[in-house]
Amino acid sequence: MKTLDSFRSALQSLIVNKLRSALTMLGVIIGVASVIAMVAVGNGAGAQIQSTVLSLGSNLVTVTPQQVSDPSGLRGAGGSSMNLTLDDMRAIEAQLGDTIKAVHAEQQAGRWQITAAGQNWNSNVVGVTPEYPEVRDWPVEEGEFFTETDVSVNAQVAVIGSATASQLFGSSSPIGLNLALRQVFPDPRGGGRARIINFRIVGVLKEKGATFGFNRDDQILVPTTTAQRTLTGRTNSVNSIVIKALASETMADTTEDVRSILLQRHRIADPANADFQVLNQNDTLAALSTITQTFTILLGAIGGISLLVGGIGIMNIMLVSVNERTREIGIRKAVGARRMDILLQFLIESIALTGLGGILGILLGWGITQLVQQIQPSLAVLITAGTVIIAVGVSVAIGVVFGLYPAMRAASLHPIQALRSE
Amino acid sequence: MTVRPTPRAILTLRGVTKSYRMGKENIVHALRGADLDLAEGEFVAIMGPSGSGKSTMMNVIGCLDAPDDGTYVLDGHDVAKLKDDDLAEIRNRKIGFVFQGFNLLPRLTAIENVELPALYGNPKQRKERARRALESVGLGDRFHHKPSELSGGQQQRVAIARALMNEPAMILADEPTGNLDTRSSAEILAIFQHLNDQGKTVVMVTHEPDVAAHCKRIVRMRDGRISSDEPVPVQRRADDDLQALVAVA
Repeated sequence: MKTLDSFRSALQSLIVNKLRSALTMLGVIIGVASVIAMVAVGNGAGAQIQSTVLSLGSNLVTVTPQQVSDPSGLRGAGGSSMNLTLDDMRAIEAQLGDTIKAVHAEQQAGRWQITAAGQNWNSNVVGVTPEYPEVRDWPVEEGEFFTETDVSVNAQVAVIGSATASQLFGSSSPIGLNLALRQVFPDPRGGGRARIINFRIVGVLKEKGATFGFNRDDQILVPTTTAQRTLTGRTNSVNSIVIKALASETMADTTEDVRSILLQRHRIADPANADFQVLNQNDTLAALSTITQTFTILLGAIGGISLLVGGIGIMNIMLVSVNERTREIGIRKAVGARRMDILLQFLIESIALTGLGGILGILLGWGITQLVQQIQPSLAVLITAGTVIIAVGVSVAIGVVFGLYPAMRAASLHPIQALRSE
Repeated sequence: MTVRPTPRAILTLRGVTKSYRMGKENIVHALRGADLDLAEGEFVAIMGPSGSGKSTMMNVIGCLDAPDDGTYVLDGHDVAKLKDDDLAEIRNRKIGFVFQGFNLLPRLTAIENVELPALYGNPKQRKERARRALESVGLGDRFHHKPSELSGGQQQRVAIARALMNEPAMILADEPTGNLDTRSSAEILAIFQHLNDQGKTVVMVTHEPDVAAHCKRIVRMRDGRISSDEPVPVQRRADDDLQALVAVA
């Protein structure tokens, strides 16, 4: 029997039992749709996390202070987290030279109340070094970044984020204007004393956009030294040193170089006792992608269970169909149908059910992801070609697996018994 | 004196036995050594009371069931020991079935039902062949009717057209008039007689002597064996029956 005839006859018999075929297909449709939608959410989250990490700059090696623990397992003094210095950064810069692209150091200065142009705002203040734009792939949109000289003289200059700029100054240019950081100390005698530090705005950063509800365009960058001496009092120490490697491939080498320089500078013989931690962005990405992959697999598995239930529905209905059509099978066998002809007829029917169900399921899954986007725009979804191919493949495979047993039952019927059945 | 050529043998059964297991202990010996010869162009009725083995005989002749023992040569092929799929192929090429209950597929139109044997065998020009077969049984105007839109006699004629589709060596009819009224029965028998006049071999299983009288030879069965095998002295013509029916009306 020609395949085309088989397909036509399969479709015919599905059309005859419209409602039944539709309900049976619904199981597969829901299964495929849930796999598509769930995996899309998982993939979307993964892609979003990855782009968030990369938006902080690419090929980064980050050094952060590490709490040193003594052999008894007790933690070291709190001061040990202040062991990274601007001098460490200078040493790395001097020793690695051309083998890295750039290096900068950061010192968090906390949240401050800000007043400028008669407006009040609250923002995060970070002390950084002039290489910041290069390391973070984050150029200034307007004005200029502060210079090495500004750092060396603790100049009270600031580069502000685009969101901060529009909050304080609206659409007008803030370059050359002043902003004041205010800190209020409660006075035991009542009231409070305010400390006000003025900064001149020299630049505005390019817009990066918000991720996970955290707006990175709302921040104020000041020279590290200013953050240390004027704002925090943590003289010379920094929260992190960030090194930009030449390329993704050289990151492992750079990581090793940085570690050995710092071990030497900090006079630590055993790397296990290092008072700092060197984080390679590749490792971070790999760790994150492992997490999101697990997450995606978990979500996919939940969808897969409904697909399995749909498959069992297919098997059930195909068994009913074989029972109902025993006489037809007898007639077909009497006029010369071989086992394989009957087997294929029923197999094609179940594959047609699951294949069509799979296609409709993809459309439904796509619809669901669109709806999710409409309702919750911050939740990223991503349907990949791979997901679609796998979903269709799996649904066709379910047609084969769950259709095979009923089809084999049909094929092995004895023609005489089949003809006698009513 | 002219020598008449011996007609070609269509089937030869020798010592065919077949038994069925009914329940756990009960074995029914349906055929206990049946011998039968059939030549091309014959029109044979197989008769016998129920339990005589005529249904089993029909299943064995129709290659729907393989005999336990004995030999069966159908149109030159030894089919006694064939496997299921080979039997299916023989049925497709050598045998045209006509059943008491018509056994048409209700979802297919008349012409699609007639085409069915071609799907499992020779698919060449199957539309054209199906059309010709339906025209030959007088249903040239019913190609696209579903079985439910046809009378019993018309449905049986569709079944005959289906049996003719692959130009089989033999038409095997199992109580073909059992579900029909007198007039339709006569029409169906007339079709068989015309086919036989054109040289087709027809085997018909029936328990009605009136129907058997339209054949040329009657084989009677009893207890799983052939009990008598004799020619019909004067073959009753179905065309005459039809004329008589018209006269009565």
